[in-house]
Amino acid sequence: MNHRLEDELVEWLRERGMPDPVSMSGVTASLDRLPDRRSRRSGWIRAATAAVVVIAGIGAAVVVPRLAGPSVGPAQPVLPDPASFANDPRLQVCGAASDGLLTVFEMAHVSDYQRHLPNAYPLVGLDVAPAAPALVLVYAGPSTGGRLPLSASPTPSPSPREHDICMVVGDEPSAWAPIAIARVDITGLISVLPTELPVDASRSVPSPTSTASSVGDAPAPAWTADIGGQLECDGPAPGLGGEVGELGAWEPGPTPDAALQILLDARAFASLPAGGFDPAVVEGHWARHEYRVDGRVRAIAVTTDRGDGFPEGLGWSVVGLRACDAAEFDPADGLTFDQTLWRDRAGTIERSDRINSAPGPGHCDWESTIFLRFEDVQYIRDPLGVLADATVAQFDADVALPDDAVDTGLHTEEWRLHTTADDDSIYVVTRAGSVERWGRAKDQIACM
Amino acid sequence: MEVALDHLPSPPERSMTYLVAAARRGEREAFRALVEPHLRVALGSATIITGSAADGADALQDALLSAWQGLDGLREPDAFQAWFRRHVIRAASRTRRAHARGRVVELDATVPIPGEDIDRIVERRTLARAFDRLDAADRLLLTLHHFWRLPVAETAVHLGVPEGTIKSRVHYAMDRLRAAFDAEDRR
Repeated sequence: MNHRLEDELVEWLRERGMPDPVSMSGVTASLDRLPDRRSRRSGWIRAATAAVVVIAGIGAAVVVPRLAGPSVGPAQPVLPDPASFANDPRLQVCGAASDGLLTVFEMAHVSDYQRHLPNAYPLVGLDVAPAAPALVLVYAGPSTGGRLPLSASPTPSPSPREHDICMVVGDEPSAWAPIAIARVDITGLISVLPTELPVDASRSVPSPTSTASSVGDAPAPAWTADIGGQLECDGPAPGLGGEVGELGAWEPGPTPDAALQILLDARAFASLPAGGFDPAVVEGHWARHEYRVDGRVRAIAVTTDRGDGFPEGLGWSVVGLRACDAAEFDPADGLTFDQTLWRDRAGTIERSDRINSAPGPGHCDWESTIFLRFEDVQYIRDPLGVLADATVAQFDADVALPDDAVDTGLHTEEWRLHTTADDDSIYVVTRAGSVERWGRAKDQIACM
Repeated sequence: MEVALDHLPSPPERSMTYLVAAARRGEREAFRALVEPHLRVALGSATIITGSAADGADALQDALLSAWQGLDGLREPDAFQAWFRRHVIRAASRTRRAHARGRVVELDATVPIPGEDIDRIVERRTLARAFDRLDAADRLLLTLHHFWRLPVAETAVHLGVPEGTIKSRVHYAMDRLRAAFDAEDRR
């Protein structure tokens, strides 16, 4: 049967890939409009997107970029003077001095990141603390690739729009954690979010800190509160997503189903089921989708067509999302993220928060790598050495398995994990029988 | 000094080394000569990967620009084709991800040929929806393998996987396509 399907697929691909004359003509014409070539020495090559994130103290995540939506408020041409934060101890958390900064501003919630920086890519790694406040430092200096401490030298950024930033997350000094992000597009930066939406003033706007939102005179249904507590997970639920009021409003769609699909298609969250959600409840301006396996709720998404963060009339938006660990999903439904779940010795899928792996993202030129996270330690399979400086031990495709290596039993179709007392490396026995050594990442690495 | 005729270099117009060197000097016609033979299939691949003709064209233009600007990074002129394909795949994958928000799944826009079997039309549209249900890695793999017909070794590099796994990956991807097709067929 697959042979016939293969033939059909080849023919269909040929049809779908048949270039239309208009597109072809446009592409050919673009060759005449190529700008003057800049040599490598002049430094800047037009790049669509990449930046490197170093996440310290919060767990790594490989994030998927997407274009930002429209600004939710008017651009503010005057940026706060960083000197007004000169004595703020959080600057020291980033190793910064105010004279090296373009601007500094406060975010009430980390989940407001893209409302402040509408042209920046989303950061999945911030999922772990979406409700926490943050101080954002925007650097004036050249990009340092996101390594802390960021440069405090007041020299021009390579691009007028892209700057390094350092975000200090947390409301208590003991909880302050720095996140360095390189080459963030700050076009349209809004340092202070508007307090009112430019819509019907008679409608009340739900407070982002309330446990149950309200719309006008009608409170939100009780089931919109504590959706994490309504999951029926086998184990602890990961922190991805957020409760209603924490998550913020996602890109709207015409219906609750469409809104959820937009979120899933964006692949901005690590490891949600790619399909299989069923509508469970629609009550007034609120709707709920559930994802069940073996009759138990493993993920919940709450949508509304009235909420904080977007004007009335744009449709429905996901405002609450919680899910169990990806190991509890049905493999047939796939995942929103290109992640490989490992199995234990008995063949049972192991929790992804214990072990998971994923290919490095192509938009950072890391597509030849594999990122493995095992018991909160990140290892990298790097046959081409693109991240050779980032690992403690170098990748080796053919080593002898050390005498003290222990077979963990954790495996995929291709690899079987062995560990030794030295956690600078892990040893992976391939299906072909060779033994590879993967080095531990010096710092948690992610790409945006 | 006289040079024997049989030691003269090939006409420079045909030499990849010459064309790459000329393009590096900023000669657009040399760059055009390098890429033009590959534009049709590159556009087709970009269209499949991004899911739309407009996005495919945008992605290819991005790839042309990044290749043009990045020529200094090409180590071996004779590897230009594979190097350029990498730019196309990267740009198309980026465009696909970037435009995933609010993306409407494009049904097969093939205009039915008069008299064409209706079952066949329905089957192709089901296949189109099934293909769109696959994850990005599967779609890319099947595009590189079945449409672009890239060598296994190059496909492995683009996907960042061991070369020896390509055939089994294609097999599993086809299994998932079959499952998606069956699911779409039942709707």
